[in-house]
Amino acid sequence: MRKRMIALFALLVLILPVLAACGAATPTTAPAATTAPTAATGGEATAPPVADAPTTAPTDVPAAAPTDAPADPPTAAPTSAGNVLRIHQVAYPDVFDPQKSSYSGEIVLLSQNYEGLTRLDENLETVPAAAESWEYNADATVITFTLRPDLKYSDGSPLTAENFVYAAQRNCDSATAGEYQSILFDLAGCADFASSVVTDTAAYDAAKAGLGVSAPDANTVVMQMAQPAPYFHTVASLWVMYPAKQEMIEKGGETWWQDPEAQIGNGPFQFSSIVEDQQIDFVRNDNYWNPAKLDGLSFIYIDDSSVALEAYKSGQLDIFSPDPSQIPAVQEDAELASLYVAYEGANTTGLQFNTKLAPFDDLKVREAFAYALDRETYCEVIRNADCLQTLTWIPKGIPGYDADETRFAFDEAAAKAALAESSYGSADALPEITMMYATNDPANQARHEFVANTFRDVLGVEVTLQGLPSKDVSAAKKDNATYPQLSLGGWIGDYPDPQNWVSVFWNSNATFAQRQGYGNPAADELMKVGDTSTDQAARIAAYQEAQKIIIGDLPIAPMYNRVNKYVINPRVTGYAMTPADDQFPGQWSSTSISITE
Amino acid sequence: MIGFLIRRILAVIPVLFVVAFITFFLMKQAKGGPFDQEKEVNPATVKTLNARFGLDKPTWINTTAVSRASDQGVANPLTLTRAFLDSQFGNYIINAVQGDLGPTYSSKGTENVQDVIKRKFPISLRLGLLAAALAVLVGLPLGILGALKQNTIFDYISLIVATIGTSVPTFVTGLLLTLFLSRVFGVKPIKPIDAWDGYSTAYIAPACILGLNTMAYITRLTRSSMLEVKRQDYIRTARAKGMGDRVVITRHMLRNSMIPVVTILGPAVAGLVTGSFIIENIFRVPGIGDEFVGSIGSRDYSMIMGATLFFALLVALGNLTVDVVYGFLDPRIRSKS
Repeated sequence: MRKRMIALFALLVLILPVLAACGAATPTTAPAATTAPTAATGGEATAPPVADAPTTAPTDVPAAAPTDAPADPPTAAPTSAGNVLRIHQVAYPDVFDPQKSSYSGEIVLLSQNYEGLTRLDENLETVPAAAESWEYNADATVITFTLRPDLKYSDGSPLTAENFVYAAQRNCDSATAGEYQSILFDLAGCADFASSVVTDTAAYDAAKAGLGVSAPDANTVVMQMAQPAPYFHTVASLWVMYPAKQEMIEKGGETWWQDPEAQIGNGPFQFSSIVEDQQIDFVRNDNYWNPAKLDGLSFIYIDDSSVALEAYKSGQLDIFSPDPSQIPAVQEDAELASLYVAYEGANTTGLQFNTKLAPFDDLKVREAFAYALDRETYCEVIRNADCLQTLTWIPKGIPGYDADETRFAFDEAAAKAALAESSYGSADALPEITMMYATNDPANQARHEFVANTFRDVLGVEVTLQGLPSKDVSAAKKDNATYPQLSLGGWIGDYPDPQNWVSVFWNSNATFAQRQGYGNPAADELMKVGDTSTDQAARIAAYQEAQKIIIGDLPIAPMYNRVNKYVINPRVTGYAMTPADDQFPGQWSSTSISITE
Repeated sequence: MIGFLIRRILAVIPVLFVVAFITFFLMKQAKGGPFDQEKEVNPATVKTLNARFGLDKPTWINTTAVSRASDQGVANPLTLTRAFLDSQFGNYIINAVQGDLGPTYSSKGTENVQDVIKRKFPISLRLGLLAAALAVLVGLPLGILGALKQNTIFDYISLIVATIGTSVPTFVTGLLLTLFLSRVFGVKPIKPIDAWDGYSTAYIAPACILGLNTMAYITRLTRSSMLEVKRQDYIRTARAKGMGDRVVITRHMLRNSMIPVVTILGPAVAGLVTGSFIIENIFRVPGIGDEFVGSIGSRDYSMIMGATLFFALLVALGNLTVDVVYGFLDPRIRSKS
């Protein structure tokens, strides 16, 4: 009996330390335990913001400090509240170098640290930034930017036209080869410079000299275009034109961008700390011409969305980006539902047709399929409200959006009528129809089955689904000869000018339109007006008219815009929600965000 | 012993080469490339990037370079061999031998694979060693207790712990522990940013979850191996000699039942120290496990190769250590080698 007791005791001794260890060091929990319940309820109950922040701060510090080995108290501070906006980000960025970055999670960091010649305002209009004004010549082939006087970097050093010339040069340089380099290909000589071979020194230097960007004086940047480009002032707002300092890049070598000291910026905030996979902090740049209201920003990286939600609830985050799978739970949660916002992103997805392949070479058949799409149910039920339905091409919030487009909305009768009017007359006469989709995302199958079922239910058409790895799907979609009869696809905007949506995609000489076998001379004419006129209002009107023609022609039946979605602590105010704000609301106009205690 | 060690270390080289070959082959079978994105990259840029990363070269051997060189009158066999090996695989192996695992594609070539490993591996190593220590320190006694007190409450407890450890996936246990710590103890998910710089309490929770599976495995293995040894003749002999319980258990039973446990420990520790994608994501550990998994999806060829070779090297070292330890546990094995 005694032995047995000893054994039992031994077992307890073995298990206890593990439980205690997993339960985090006991001394740590002692002070936290009293405050923890308050903090938890405070976070969940969306108690008045005033109550929330103070509760969080004290809990945070005692819990964090011992964990952190008390040696270094200042580092425990960044997650505490105050006038710093704490933003949840999912994946840690691969590279944040203005001329090399290509993902929005990278660009959002750069856009706080730097500023281009122009910037986007809360309506996605292009407004003066480092340049106080710009002017096109008559045929929109030369654009002259005049910088604000006395511009400074965050370290106080002067920012001049040469810094922007360097940005353009570095972007077009084949030695840089950033994935977004082609966005400046309207600039004379940029395409040539990008395809020059670095080792062929003479040709490389000639290509570099041929680049159409110059600084006649410290306050003037002149850009020579390869063809008319009256939208180029918007392109000048993009991250590829951010003036990272040449000496810092050359001194820091390939990994210069990892050092906050080398990322001397001219934007509203300044990198202050970069801790890989954990957190990136910014402080306000007081040398910026339009000082921000916040003291700083913290981008906090949490891959696991459940952990991120817990961090939000315990008061460690101000903005939380839910995973699509969490949307129903967030919407049903009494507290979170009122703090949840969702708005259209700068993307459009629709049902894409190969307009050269039967039966979709017949406009009436395309109409029948467009009418048959129940977009609302698709977004609400199949995609968990991760999207909002649309009937037009340019998303809401982007210049050129057509709010009046109502054609081809879900209408079973119209769908049947269109099919009856087609050259085939009925569903039985249609040839075999295959819809291709990428199997990489497991959710894709259910999504496509829903669409296929819709066509069966509404039109009586059997659509065969063909699931392939996404690389095979994109390979097939690169050529009209192999382009699938039916597929879902669309466009993600690069910059908020209708040219990027209409001409880049639907002009009959654009690769994307050609792949679908689309082209309409009447639309091309209108795009030409938009692509060459310097009258911005006339341009937008021309693109909108072209868009009407394209929607009528139905190379694509627009279905939905994926949404930007966040849970935002009510202490945060003054943020904009444009389609381009896809990492946090107000990212492009972060100077106006404030935190009210 | 020294000769044995040298022979075993040399044997690692062909193993690594074969691993490199197979990984390279499989990697090239997967469709797509590192520069494929949701938004298409301009063909001119892709061409420049392919040239920079040597992806414009043939995959295995470069016959065109050889014929070009011989056309130019090059007769030096070394130069010709180098031209022959001026392929993606050939260049990779030649650079890897010199310690250069190549630039990562995800960083747009700004970082080298060995730098990423150097930076992130220490964190995974600390976490993995803690997890391994935990697995052994808890698993071993639990298994012994289970065997000595077979079919008693201790045995059942050890069985329950082991079953949970094996069957509940880490994304469940990890998340439950995170939520439990946050709600009950107020240990919030976001740790101070320097929490991972050295050993700190931040490692404990992820180490518990990471070591759970191995712990369960060790428990069961120890138990069954102890039970087997318990019935051996030499144990009966020892007891007949009148040896005390303690000596029989520690000197005879335990030592002899350690062989299978030590065998799995080598590869298990290698697995633990290379991190876990899931645990790193849940506990926000900036370790190397994330790179291993992420590189495959993004077709980061050099990272895939570097990570696989590094893992293979660790497994080889783990097995080597196991072989050395065998000698101490069982003299019969030592004499054979």
